Amino acid sequence: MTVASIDRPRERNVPKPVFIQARGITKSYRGVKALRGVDLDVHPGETLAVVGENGAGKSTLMKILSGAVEPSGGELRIDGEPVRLSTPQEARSRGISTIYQELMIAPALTVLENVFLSDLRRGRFGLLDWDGMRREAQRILARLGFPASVDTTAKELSVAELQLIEIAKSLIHRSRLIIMDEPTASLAKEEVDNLFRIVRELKSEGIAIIFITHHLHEIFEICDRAVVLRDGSYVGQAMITSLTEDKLVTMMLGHAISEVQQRSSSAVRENEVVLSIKDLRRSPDLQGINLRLRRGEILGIAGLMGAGRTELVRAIFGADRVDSGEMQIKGKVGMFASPRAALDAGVGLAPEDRKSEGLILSLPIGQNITLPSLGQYAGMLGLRLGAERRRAGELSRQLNVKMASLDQLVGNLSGGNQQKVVLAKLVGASADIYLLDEPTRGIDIGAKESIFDLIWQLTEKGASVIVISSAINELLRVCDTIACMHLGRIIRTFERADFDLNAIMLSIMGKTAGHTPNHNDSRLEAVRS
Amino acid sequence: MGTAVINIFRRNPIIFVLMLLGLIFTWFSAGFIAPGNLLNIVRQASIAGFVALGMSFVILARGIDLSVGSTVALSSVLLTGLSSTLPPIVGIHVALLAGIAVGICNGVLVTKFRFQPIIVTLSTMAIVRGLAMAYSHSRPIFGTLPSVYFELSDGMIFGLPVPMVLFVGASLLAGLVLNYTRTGRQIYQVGGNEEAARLSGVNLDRIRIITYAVSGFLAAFAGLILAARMQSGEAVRTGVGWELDAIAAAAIGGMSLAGGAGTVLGTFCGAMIIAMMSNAFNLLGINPYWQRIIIGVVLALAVATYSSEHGKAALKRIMRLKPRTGNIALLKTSSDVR
Ligand SMILES: Nc1ncnc2c1ncn2[C@@H]1O[C@H](COP(=O)(O)OP(=O)(O)OP(=O)(O)O)[C@@H](O)[C@H]1O
Ligand SMILES: [Mg+2]
Repeated sequence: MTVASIDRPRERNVPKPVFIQARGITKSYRGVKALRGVDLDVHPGETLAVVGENGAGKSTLMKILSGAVEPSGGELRIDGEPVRLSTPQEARSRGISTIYQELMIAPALTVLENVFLSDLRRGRFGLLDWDGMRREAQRILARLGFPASVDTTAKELSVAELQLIEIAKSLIHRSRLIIMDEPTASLAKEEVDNLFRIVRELKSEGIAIIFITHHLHEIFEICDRAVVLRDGSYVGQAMITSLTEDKLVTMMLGHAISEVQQRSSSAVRENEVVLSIKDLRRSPDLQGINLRLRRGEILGIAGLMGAGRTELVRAIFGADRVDSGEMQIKGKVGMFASPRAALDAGVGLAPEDRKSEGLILSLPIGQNITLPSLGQYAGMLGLRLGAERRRAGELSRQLNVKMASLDQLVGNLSGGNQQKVVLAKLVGASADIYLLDEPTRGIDIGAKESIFDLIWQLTEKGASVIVISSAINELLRVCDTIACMHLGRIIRTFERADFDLNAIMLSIMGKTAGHTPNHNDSRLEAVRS
Repeated sequence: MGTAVINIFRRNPIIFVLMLLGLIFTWFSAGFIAPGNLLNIVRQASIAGFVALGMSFVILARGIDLSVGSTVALSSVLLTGLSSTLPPIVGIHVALLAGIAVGICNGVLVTKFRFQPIIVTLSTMAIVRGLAMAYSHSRPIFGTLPSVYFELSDGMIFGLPVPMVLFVGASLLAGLVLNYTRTGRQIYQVGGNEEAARLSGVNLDRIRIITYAVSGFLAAFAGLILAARMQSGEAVRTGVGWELDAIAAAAIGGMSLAGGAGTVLGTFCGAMIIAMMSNAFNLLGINPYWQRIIIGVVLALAVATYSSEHGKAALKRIMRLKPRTGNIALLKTSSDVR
């Protein structure tokens, strides 16, 4: 049982009884209709993709299935029996577990305590049975390929490892359905592969999975069936075997995606270096970075997790102190003392984690958008609210934020739309050097195109951009230059003319230049596919 | 305009509670609605209200200030003590500056030394009370204030008690600052999400220090009016427990102790409710022990009501993790080696 099953039957010949039947589910929040009559069936052992644009209602539907949110209308049946799931506990006791977009893990507790967080086992005398729990946790985690000890505290773990804890939690509850809302959004390729291995194994045991992702190729790799939502309505469903990516996109958007745009020409001005860095160090993440950014250039930074990409842009932005190094920015020498200094000098950062670093969830969308640029609206008699609001409106339209009004709390937006607000903030700060850390995370394919467009427009106006992305194909599309980072160093830089996927892959894994690609290297295969 | 008013009510459901309580008390005790009594309530509410107002600034930026009660006492003895030899205007300035100084001390200890606000202000609470007692030799200071200063507490402007006018004025000003100035907005931002605010260019330390300074200033101001009202300054019992009333007023008014959410209007209503309740209980002849118990229950009820929303937000904030995987990956390899 602990062996990963390799075979994966794509077609289900034998019709199985329906596990969950949702009919006409509606949900509205103060007049905002998030769901308008959605039907959904989940069969035992199937891997079901729920797809749709940002704000289509995917997460809301999942919250209803997992008892976190009560529907405004509609009917839910489990094994044919009508049910009301008003709390997550009820859903769990009926075999439904959820791994949310934001993981719910207590950072100060150990892995073991987290796994049994909501289900502590008692032994003799009513005392907690830690030995039993430890054995069970170890057994399940080993099966999931969890590398660390169960006594590690959760805050020391990576996102991928935290996800494994969440999966372990659902396994001890003997779940029949595990919902995964954008589990791959912040995983590296190898971690995605491990997750898929687990998904296949769970499937072979008859556990159903609902899988949400904006990386459509993943759906074709792992799912049996897709259900499509658009603007809160059910659009249709199809077996994956009968689908193509184009068909799926057409269902999602309601129209085919416009021809993938290519940029006409590069806007790089060869002789104008706006940012140069010499031997930047910050132990242990940055081990001597050398870098040069020209006016109008889009510089991509490729690298695996732990390569130090985020630390590099944070150091440039003045968010973290550095140990040593030289920076010259637009002719001035020295590091920024604080993010404020960077913003004043026209350098903006879109941070990696929108919830904890990018947004203030308890404030309205409008106030979040003008957060870094509030000084622009300061008048003699306080803030000029009219001007502020007008600009926030413009920016939200430019970034295509799907919202009810600027006064809506940003925390109520869908994940992808929150990401757009982070970018709108930055555009409003009128910087001319942009540092974008995973700007397309959680963003649907249509919106992704408009973000690429936006980046191109910015550079045509003379701005320079540094983009971090784990999706190398995105970097290949938008960048003029790609710098490959490995363990705190930039080990190779490619100009557009000599972009080479293989060479980039090798570089980010730390293979030196000139090394011939080794086709038996499984890691390379994993990253390439 | 209409929607703006509706929004005010929606954001501050406490207004209805205030009106409802007013009706109930009127029903039970005819004396409650008498003009003299209402003025009394308002005067009472106003003096404590200044402290609650200052506390609101601190709480909005996700701090807490336990030293306010001691600052009230310090301010009252400074004013009355200095006025024995100098013109009262000197005492007023010194007292207000002392309040600001206490606030700045709190702010600097919290920001530059990264001590926890509750510990810092617990210490300054003791220190400031000690200073006030040392200055006054723990004896009340009588008869130093010229009688015109009695007007500061019992006088009337526009047919309203002076403290009331001052308190309404201060509340309006606070509301304007919080909503219509950059610093005010940044207070909400710091309380809402410190790291996001910092990365958006907010100077966290400056904002925090400002909130504690405002709190110290307003506590000192309350101390001045109290001294005027009592015609004396006293260091041992003055302002004892006021920090709790101030926190309670803010919490009853819907302010989230997790920071970043709440309104001045809410705190205003909260302060009114607390004063109204103790006044009504006195009229109804309810035993003071019971009064404290009832106020405690009301506070718990208020918090329970709000926590359906705010409590969850706070919990989420605690539970939220930063996936800064970069460091972690490197950390792990090094610990594996060990
Ligand atoms: N608590 C809330 N209050 C108001 N509106 C909400 C709330 N939660 C969700 N919505 C709205 O419901 C709609 C659907 O949101 P949902 O999070 O389900 O989208 P999604 O399909 O998961 O999008 P994404 O791909 O961006 O994650 C959005 O327009 C969102 O603004
Ligand atoms: Mg979502």
